[in-house]
Amino acid sequence: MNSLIKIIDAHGHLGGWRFFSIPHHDIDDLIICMDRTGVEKVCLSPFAGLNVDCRYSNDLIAQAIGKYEDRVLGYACVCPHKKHEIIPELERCFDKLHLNAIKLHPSESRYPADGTNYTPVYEFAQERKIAILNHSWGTPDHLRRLADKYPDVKFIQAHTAGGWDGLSQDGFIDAAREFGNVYMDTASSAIYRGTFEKLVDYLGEDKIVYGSDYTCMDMGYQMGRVIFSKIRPEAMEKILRNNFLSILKHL
Amino acid sequence: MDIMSKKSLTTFIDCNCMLGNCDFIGMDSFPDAGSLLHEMDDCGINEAIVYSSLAAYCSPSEGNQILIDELKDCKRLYPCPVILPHHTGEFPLPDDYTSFLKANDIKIVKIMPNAFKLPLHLWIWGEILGRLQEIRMPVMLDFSMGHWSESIDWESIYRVVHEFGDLPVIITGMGMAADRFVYPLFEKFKNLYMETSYYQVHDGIDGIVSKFGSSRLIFGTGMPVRSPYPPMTALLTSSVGTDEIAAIAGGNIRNLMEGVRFE
Repeated sequence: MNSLIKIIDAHGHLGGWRFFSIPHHDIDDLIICMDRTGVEKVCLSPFAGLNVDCRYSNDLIAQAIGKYEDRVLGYACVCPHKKHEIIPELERCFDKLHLNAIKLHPSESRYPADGTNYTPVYEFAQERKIAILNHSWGTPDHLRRLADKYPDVKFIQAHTAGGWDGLSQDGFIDAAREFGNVYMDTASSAIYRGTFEKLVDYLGEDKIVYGSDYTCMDMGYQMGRVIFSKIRPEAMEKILRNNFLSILKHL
Repeated sequence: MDIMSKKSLTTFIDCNCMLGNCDFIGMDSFPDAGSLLHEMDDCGINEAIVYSSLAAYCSPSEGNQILIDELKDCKRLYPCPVILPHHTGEFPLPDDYTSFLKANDIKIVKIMPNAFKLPLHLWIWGEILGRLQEIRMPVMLDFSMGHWSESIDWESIYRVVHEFGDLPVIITGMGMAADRFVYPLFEKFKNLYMETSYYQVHDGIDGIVSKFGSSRLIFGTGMPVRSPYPPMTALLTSSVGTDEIAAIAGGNIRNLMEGVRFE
């Protein structure tokens, strides 16, 4: 285990969330927690951007970046129901607010993962070579079609690299094996014994990015999955840090 | 101090570990005490309270006895029988059962309402819980929660801790939605404790310790299904002090078990 790697967390949140109590959820609190747990940077999407108010969310994360620009990265959120607003908002996010990647959450947005209103998002990301983290891409076939059609977009499937049970065939993991621009993040409340090593073996150490889903879940709890795993040190550094940095390297 | 050093200096007692073959989980289980002890040595756990897979998912009376027999001479593993009430004759009368527990030096038991589809109604469980309260035997309540979003019967937990105020009750496998339920219960009832295998509320350990003290949390892993490391890192990276870490990691469960008063 290497406790000296400065972790880059690819999946975090800001603000409160209706499903449970999240104490200390503003950016100052998050930085304190990051300092305590050895996390150098985190890429955040405010919860509000997932379902209620993407513009408010994007402003909130921009303020956080402004305050802690060496520690905080930001996901831009858009509303799939307001198709005509998607491009202007993405342009604002990347040209004015200087956010880093895009976050989608179809189930919270109450819009199908394969809905066509997301097409402008993919086209924008393709043109600008921007990564997209999605709570779920819907089906593995849908993810494959996107990865094939938009080769300059890095597609990150949230949760799957953490929640895999080590037994079942997972089409998303297979999609990540097939396509060079598909990745999985580790953020999952389910952490099965011994499966992380199996996943690194099967999927490869270059296709996994560390994400904690912080503040949904405790940053310290989530890192246990990786830092005490039996993967080789070079793989650990890739997963905890370098893979996500290389995904964002175009910025 | 870095996390690796902290880990090596901490005495972990896992209060929630299953022993025995368990085919349906699909992953490696611990078929015998030796295999579990080997894993514990590998991940840095000193002692464990274990329940039987056969007891939990098939037949408590058979599984419990096999477990007790296997662990008779084992100094690092403590058997935790899965119990049922006495009315059908599957389990002895409460007085007889506590005699059995005393004879076998058992200091903790487990109830699994969801796995057995047997709710915690007081008219079912009242007699045995009352007897266990008399001897201050800790009772673990395992609702077999697979995912944090599943609903469990919090009302039944409330009824038990309310009715049996001197019975140490440990709820296990609680997830990130637990606080809104646990905090009001912790406020009202000093006899309620929470095991940490699945507890991943952001800064959750810090929050509970600051409001209720460190005595309410009890380290557990949920092995063989869950990885032991996340609850370890959650504790070791929290902002609580070393005494609090020691209490949660093992001191609290040891105190509860040493508090059993067989007559």
